[in-house]
Amino acid sequence: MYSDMDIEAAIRPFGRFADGISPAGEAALVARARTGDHHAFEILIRRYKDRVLNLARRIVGDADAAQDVAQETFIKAYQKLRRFRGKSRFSTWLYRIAVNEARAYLRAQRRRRARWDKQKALEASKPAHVEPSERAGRLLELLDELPEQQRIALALFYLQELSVSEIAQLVGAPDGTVKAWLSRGRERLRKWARERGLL
Amino acid sequence: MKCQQAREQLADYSAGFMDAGPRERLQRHLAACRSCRSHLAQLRELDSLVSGERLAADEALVQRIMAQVREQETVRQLRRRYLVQGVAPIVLMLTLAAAVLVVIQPQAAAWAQALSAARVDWDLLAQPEWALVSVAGLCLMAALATWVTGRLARALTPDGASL
Repeated sequence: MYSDMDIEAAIRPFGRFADGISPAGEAALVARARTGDHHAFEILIRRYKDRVLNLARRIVGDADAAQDVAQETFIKAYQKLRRFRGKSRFSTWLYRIAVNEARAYLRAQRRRRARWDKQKALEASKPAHVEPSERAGRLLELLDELPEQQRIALALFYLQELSVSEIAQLVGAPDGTVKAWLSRGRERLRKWARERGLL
Repeated sequence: MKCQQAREQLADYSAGFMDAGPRERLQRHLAACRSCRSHLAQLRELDSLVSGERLAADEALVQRIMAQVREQETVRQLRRRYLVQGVAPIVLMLTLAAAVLVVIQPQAAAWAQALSAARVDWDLLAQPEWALVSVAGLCLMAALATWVTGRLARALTPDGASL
């Protein structure tokens, strides 16, 4: 189904899984976790915790909030695991839960905080020169300014594990629409980053 | 190809979304245009910075998740056990009562006739000894139902689920 190039591209950003578990091994772990095996589920958490945390961070924009979203994602995954039929990859299924949890967090956040408040904070924290180590963090803050669907598509894109079709399936939009979100989103980010001296 | 047109395609190009024909036209433009190459380099730098910025989830996150998973699992098991222990005796008693009614009712008239013909002393049943026997019988039935459903509940839930 996937070519060697796809697989290489998929594992590039995070490297190979350090746990040495094969795809068949992962399927076995999922099957054991479905029967209530806590140890198997813990291994799956360790395998995906960084990916889920970073996906959540790129959507919600805040590292602390991302921890809460990641925690809630794994709890929901455990609760729903008995309904996982293996029609998609476990990772795609897990990322869908993470995206839904991040969306729920954003909805709650919108109720708590007015939009202008955040804008004001961003404006105030705009320095003339930004240290290289801070640039990536500031870029992630800019991600937060994109429309929600573009931001979610970009967060999944920057995981560098999913094809456009998988992202499209995950967010429930046609492939062409997702490609347009990704291109427009990245172009906007580039422009904003230029304006703020981050590129 | 004009720069404006090329720049509209650069995000698609750097993500690998373009077909061969347009891609080659864009590549020819890039070879000749330093400004568009710089634009492409910015997009690539952006991608590299955003995808390269990663948090590592610490052990505490795993422990928090597992603690919550274990707690939820325990609550689920206890709920199932108490459901079996609480509802099953009632269902068992009602079933017994229904069975007794089904068996006795059609013959009740005949039995009443036979009993009255035998001149049973009904006052005997109102005496304390008989009441004691009745209560003891009911207690025995309740104890039996509780014991059966307790065994059933333990069989349905793994060991270790307790408050």
